[in-house]
Amino acid sequence: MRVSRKAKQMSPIEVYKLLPKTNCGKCGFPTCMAFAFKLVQGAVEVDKCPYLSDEAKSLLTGMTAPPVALVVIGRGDKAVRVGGEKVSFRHEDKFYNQPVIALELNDLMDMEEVKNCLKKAEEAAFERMEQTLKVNALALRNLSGRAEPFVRLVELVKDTPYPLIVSTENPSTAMKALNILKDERPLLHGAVLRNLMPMASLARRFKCPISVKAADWRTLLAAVNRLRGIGLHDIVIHPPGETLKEVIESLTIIRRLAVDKKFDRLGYPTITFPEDLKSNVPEPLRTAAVMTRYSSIIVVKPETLRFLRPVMMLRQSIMMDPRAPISVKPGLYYVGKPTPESPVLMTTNYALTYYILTEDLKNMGIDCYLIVVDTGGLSVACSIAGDKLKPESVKRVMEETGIAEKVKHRTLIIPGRAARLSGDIEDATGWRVLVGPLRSREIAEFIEKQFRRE
Amino acid sequence: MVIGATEPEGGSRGYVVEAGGAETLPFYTFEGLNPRPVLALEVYDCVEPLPSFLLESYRDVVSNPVEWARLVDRLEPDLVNLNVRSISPTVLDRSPKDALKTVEAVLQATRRPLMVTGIMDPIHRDDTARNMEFLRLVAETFKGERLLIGPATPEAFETVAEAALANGHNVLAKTNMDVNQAIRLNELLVEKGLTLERIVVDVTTGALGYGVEYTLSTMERFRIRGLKGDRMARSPLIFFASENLFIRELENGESGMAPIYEASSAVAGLMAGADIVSMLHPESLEKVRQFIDEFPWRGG
Ligand code: SF4
Repeated sequence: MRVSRKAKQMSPIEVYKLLPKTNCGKCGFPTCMAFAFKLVQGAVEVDKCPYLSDEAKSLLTGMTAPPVALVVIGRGDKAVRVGGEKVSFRHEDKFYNQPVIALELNDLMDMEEVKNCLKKAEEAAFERMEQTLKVNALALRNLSGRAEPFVRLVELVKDTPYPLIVSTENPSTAMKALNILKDERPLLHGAVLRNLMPMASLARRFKCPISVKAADWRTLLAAVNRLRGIGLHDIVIHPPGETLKEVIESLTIIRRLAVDKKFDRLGYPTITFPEDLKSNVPEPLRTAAVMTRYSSIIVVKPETLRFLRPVMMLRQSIMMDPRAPISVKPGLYYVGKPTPESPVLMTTNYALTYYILTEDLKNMGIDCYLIVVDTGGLSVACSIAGDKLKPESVKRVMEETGIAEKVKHRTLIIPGRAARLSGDIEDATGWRVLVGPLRSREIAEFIEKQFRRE
Repeated sequence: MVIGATEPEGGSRGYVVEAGGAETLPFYTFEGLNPRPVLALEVYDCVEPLPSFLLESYRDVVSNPVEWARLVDRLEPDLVNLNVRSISPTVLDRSPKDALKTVEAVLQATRRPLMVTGIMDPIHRDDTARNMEFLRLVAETFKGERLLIGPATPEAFETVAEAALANGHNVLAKTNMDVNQAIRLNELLVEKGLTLERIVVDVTTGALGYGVEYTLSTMERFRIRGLKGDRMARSPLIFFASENLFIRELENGESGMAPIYEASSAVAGLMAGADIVSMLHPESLEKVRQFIDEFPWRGG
């Protein structure tokens, strides 16, 4: 469906006028008016009313569309979503789609080298808190200036699990590449003012998103206008700038204008190549900088991959939903196969604390019971400082879960950081309290020395 | 805020460093320029909490705070952050009075402006009391040096505030990743007579992948409120990139990456509004300085 990108905010009355006014209730609200109010708040999806005219649907979708358009690159299992953002600061709502890290490959590389790079990309992936942090796309660059090597590169990687970015400024080379990829929806990168229309018609013909680059704002806006003029809306902006300072400025301006001023001609995801900038800053720092400043796609070179773990961890952090601190359900958890002789450990229900602790315990092959206490999802340190770890809550979870019937002993191991509360927890629960180590990886030794001794 | 005092000003520092004074959001260079951020390097007075890889590379140096301070001095940070945690009963249980000797020795070893912090994350029930006693002694003994001392926390701020006020020092105000808490502590300190230019706000730093998002968002909210006119949110912000050296990923064989973790997180902190960034690994400082050098700052 074509979405009207007229991002004008409408009043509930204006929205109501576009609805069928039959109050049929299919949308889950008793009246069309109620539905209109919810739509304006962005609290419900337009599709919930099945009786909208196409025109109404287009207008309303435009109104509720995020100020940074959502663009999908790749299809099926390979698809990644970029953009779709509503705010400039995560505390105002949250960030919706994680910045895509794209590995750069070029057609001067031989087959061996390409395979090597793909292997590096695989090796760079790692598991963290039930997510896989990894490279999400491949950016293919036509450095040879010729079509054949580029086509060969496309052939070589087209069946990898990554969505592709096809980067060339030559429309006929681009066409050959797109012909191979057919309806795979790669991002066509390389449109500049000079080749804009031929590239645009390729994007239209192959139904793929297109990115546009310009050296200054005026040219950029004119180019975006022309793309929209021929019906292209899956646009990615390659922001102006040759230095880190200029690119950070461009990225910031684009996001702020799109969000604050609803300036829809800049309301698109962005792609940056931090390693192509004139800069002396170590590559991972450049990547971190553009990442914190909204770059939707960040293209990195193979040599940099092995330094990107911290940046991927930064990405995982800033993508956390600030409205819903991730927590685990308070209660009793089994680690390994605990017996009545196994130790009983206690911690808070901050998800990170829980994951790290259980991961460490599993790695060390410890069988134990884990009492998780409700601290509103705060870590041990934070909950102690904020007085959110209550000895009474510890007592309650222990009673509710019947831990006393499961073990023969009466010893509870609390986190090292909760040392201050050891006496109070002892009083509340009637169990003997052992203060564990500060770091969970020292627990095995601790259990051996302190707990088993008795 | 001014940290450090030269001889004519009644101190013994070679120069003074200014922190804070942002007039626009961080890296909004198209709107206006902010002052250059201050980079601090840390010196610990005991090796107890240090990651093993740091000990391996710098064993001879880091086991002696004076040698360490000399090394740090050569790396030319704007500020030296001396962390005195030996006073904790769970660490070395050193008496605060005795620990003063280390402060004295470090002041001799470097003429750079100094920040003196006690136990930053109290665990033992006596830690806070130890902090207060130590910081009071530091403030009195080194009157005139215009140090940055802390932490002052919502639970214990009066002693530090009074001692800093009476002896001309600045205060590090530490709260727990909550913008309202930070502002509330500022109010309490201002009620005690400190001015906002004499408070550095530490909202508590989480490492990358370990809660840094709370830190970044709290700093952003604090700065936005300050720029919008909330007077109590006008203090400079400090970000402890050094937190990243203590994460498990580095212990598990990635220790060569330590400076990259620390420097990448420093960049994230700067982008969120940090006016001071405190680092621990000697190799991180230069990377972050290169980053700062590529942007324009007010007054050059
Ligand atoms: S489904 Fe459509 S027509 Fe029916 S009440 Fe809801 S808005 Fe009105």
